[in-house]
Amino acid sequence: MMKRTRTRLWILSGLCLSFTALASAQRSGPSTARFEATGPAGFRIEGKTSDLKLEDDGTFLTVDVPLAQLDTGIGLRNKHMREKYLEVARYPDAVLKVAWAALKLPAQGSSVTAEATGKMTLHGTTREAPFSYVIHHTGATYDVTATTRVNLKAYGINVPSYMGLTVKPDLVTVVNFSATKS
Amino acid sequence: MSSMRTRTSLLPSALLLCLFFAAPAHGYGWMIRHGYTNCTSCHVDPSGAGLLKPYGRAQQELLVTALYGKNSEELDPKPGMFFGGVPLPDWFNAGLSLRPAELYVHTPQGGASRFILMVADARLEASVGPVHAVATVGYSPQGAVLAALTAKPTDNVVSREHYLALDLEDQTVMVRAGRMEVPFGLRMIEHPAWVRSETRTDINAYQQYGIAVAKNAGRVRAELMGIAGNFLIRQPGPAHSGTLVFAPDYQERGYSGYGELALAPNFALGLTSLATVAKLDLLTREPNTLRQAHGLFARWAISEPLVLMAEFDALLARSDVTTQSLGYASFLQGDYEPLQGVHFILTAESLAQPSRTGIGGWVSFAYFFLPYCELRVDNILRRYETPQGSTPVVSVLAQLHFST
Repeated sequence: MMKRTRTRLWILSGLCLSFTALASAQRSGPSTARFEATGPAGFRIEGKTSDLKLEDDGTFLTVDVPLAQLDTGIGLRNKHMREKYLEVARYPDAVLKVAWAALKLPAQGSSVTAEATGKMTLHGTTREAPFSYVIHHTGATYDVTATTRVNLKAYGINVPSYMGLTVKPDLVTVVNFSATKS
Repeated sequence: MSSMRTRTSLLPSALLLCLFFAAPAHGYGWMIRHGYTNCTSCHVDPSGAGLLKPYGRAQQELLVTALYGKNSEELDPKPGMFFGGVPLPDWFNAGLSLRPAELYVHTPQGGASRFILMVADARLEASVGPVHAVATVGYSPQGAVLAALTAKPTDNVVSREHYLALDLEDQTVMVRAGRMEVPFGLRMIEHPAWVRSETRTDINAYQQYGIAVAKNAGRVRAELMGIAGNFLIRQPGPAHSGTLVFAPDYQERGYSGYGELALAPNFALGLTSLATVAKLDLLTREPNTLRQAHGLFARWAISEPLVLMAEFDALLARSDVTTQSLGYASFLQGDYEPLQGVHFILTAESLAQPSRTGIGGWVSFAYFFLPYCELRVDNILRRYETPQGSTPVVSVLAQLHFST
């Protein structure tokens, strides 16, 4: 009886520790995730969403961007993006997972600009993804901007083409968010 | 003094001519509300207006035309003309533009109304790889004589544009040679606006022959044109002949250009400059004229429904008659689109020239009721101040525009 109670306590304390770790980095305030695609003759598309989730297991920080609300400003273009290219029904999220060990956090009142490599999962494909980031640490808040290039072909995404205009396969993606870390 | 008098006497006729002239095409700087800061995605002309590319036709349906409660996701624009009814091969592009209008002008001497066929143009483009041949051809019952291929005072065959173009560097650079729109300031359909008429850079008939290089990359768009003159300028021929003859003395040579930087997806700021010389000035008839215009312009989508566009141009001229004149033209327009396809437009403008000054206000309404179909009404009130006194002129222009 005593042994069973002790086992339960261990499990409970383990769960508590996990939740503490999960809660160690939490989003605070608004966030944006956007991409910029370019094409011939100076053509440019910007898509953005305010949906962004953070997960932290203590070892890895995961930035999860649900793609369903990604907006390029034109309804039909959004539809094509969701259905023909990103196939959001099958692959609803873009995920960047990065080890805490790969990140440099600035001291209180300072900033860090650095580069790191994480694992990007998009369209069902996971690849190494080098990215650059800037973190400002003010009070309890870390303001983060991270930028990475995504080659659509590398993730098995058809290169968007419409009415004779084809975008370049390389996109720039940027996420901005604020987080607190306990 | 005589030149001043001449200019003053030209005023009403110049105004009427300006209004009789046609506005041939799209020139919607307010597309910046949709994040389009450059023109090349939609237009063959890298500085905007005129023949649409297939992508531009689709945007016309998706972003310009009234949706009547639909979402653009429900639309399915078809390539080709007439909603896909006339498919076009990849190497060929064509468009039609028809703009009938009723114009009423009221001056202190009285009012008059008349029907005008402002535009009846076909626009054509043939492409072989990066080389494009572009031409427009149309019929103009009156006006647009500066673009007339035929030599009659009225009922002319006109060609506003005809040029060869070469795409370079992934289409971010276009080199053109031929007759084309003069790259200067805001390209707009309100061609009688003083910033267009006083700089002689409207898209009705002030095209020039020359060579131009345009750059459209990232947040920058720019074009510089070396102007060789308008080779279609004519003057009345022998008495009673009823024809016009070429008048090379009126041809202007020089340059015109602009550069615009999109500081944000919803805000662009530009500089523009023009300088030309002519043996005889087209409007003042003064010999050996140097004409200059230098200005700045901006487009700002404050929110998606509301776009502001502004331009200010310093105007300089000197000739064998006038030692040096300095003036300006300004333009400020707010375009409010509460529902897609429905535009309420307020415009304020001012003009200061040595011979006259003026202020003007436009209250306009535009309704894109079907794809490629626009109803537009402009109420224009202008007050000119001349040494002879103050002259108010009220114009009401109602027009339908069909294009494809």
